Amino acid sequence: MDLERLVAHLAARGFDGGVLVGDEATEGVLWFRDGAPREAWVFEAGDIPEMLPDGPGRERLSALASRGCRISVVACEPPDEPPELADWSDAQPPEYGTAAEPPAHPWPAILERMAVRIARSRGPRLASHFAAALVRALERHGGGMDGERVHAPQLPESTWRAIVEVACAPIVTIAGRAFADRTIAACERDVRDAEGMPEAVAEGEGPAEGEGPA
Amino acid sequence: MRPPPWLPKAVIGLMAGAAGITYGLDGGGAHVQAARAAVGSTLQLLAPLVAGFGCLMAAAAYARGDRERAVWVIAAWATLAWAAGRAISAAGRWGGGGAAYSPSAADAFYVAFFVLLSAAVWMEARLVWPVLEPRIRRNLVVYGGLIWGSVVVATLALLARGEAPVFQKMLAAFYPAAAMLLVPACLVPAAGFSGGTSAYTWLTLAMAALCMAGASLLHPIVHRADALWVAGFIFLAAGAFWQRAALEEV
Repeated sequence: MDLERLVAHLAARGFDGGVLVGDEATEGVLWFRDGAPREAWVFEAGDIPEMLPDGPGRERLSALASRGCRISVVACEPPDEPPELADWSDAQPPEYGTAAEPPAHPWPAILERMAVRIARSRGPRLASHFAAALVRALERHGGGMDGERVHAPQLPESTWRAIVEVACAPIVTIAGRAFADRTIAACERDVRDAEGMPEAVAEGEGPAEGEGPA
Repeated sequence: MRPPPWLPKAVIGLMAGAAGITYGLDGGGAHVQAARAAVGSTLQLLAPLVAGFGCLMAAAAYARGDRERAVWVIAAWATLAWAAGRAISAAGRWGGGGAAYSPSAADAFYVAFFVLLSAAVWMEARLVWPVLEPRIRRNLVVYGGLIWGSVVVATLALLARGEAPVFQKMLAAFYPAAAMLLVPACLVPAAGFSGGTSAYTWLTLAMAALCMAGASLLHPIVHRADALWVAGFIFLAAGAFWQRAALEEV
């Protein structure tokens, strides 16, 4: 996708918020205030986040976007003061917007059930690989696992999908995409059955077979 | 195309029953023996075709690009190659009226079967290998290698006594050696998935390989070793259909 066209579109509408761009190795957000692009935050996997001014930061995010990675637009109040670079040593997770893109699926509950279903079908070894990848993915976004419980700050749908994608990578490599998608769909059915949600919601919102989480 | 769940079980059960009657019972007049031979030949052709259908069913449960899908598609091609070889052998026997000459054109298909099936099983073993603990990997390599080496040495010792042409001896050594190599290779995914339903698929395939190794070792000596070929393909079909069911009931 052409990020520059999206930037121009948002600028013309006086947009406040951020454009999230990311793949498995790099994630970033370009902030807008009153339609004017401000600083860009770039997060390399396992690295200290970089904070770049509009020009070079936007170039890096444009390059990412042109490679076909995920893009989400989040309407929210952008941060007033950019934090000092020294503050990043505490690895504070970015403040994601919450109103524009709430999670469409009960991801924490789905992910808690996935390890059980994977172990039932493919044994505990593959399930432990999934759990390890899930913990790593959650930690990048300020979350983690407490025993079998998944905990994470409020994250947008696109971030949850990125977490699911990273956690499922060891499963997809061996058992395949169809198996991972089927397991996600089955776990979502479990969650909705347990919570007594109407089936129509599950059918309308759930990831259908063949639909990847990314 | 999705057969009802009872159909694979019914077909496999019928084939196992027919094989038990054909190869397990003795006696009867000339007509009975001729009928038994006809049923035996049919089973030799039918069993790999059913196994191939099972492999295609298993492959259909995956998405395009899934690596395990390629494993089952290649296994299906392998069974097709075996069925072609059997058809050529049967045509030679029934048409020519005598025993098929070996090595024959059918042997090319039998070799293709083992090469393709080995490729499929090794692809799966390679996928699962990193999941296994070093101790299990070492045991599989050491014990698998020892058993495989013993079978190869025993086969070569048996063949050395015979006076068959060298090429025929090479083929006679190749079949059991290739089949025995499949046993530890099938045990790699079986160990990797142990505790899960998919482990049974690979245990069943290891049984199939064991039957095929036994059949190829005993075939020149024991006439009823043909039953082991049918058993091998019944195991292969059962494993493939089981895999399909395990994938659908995540």
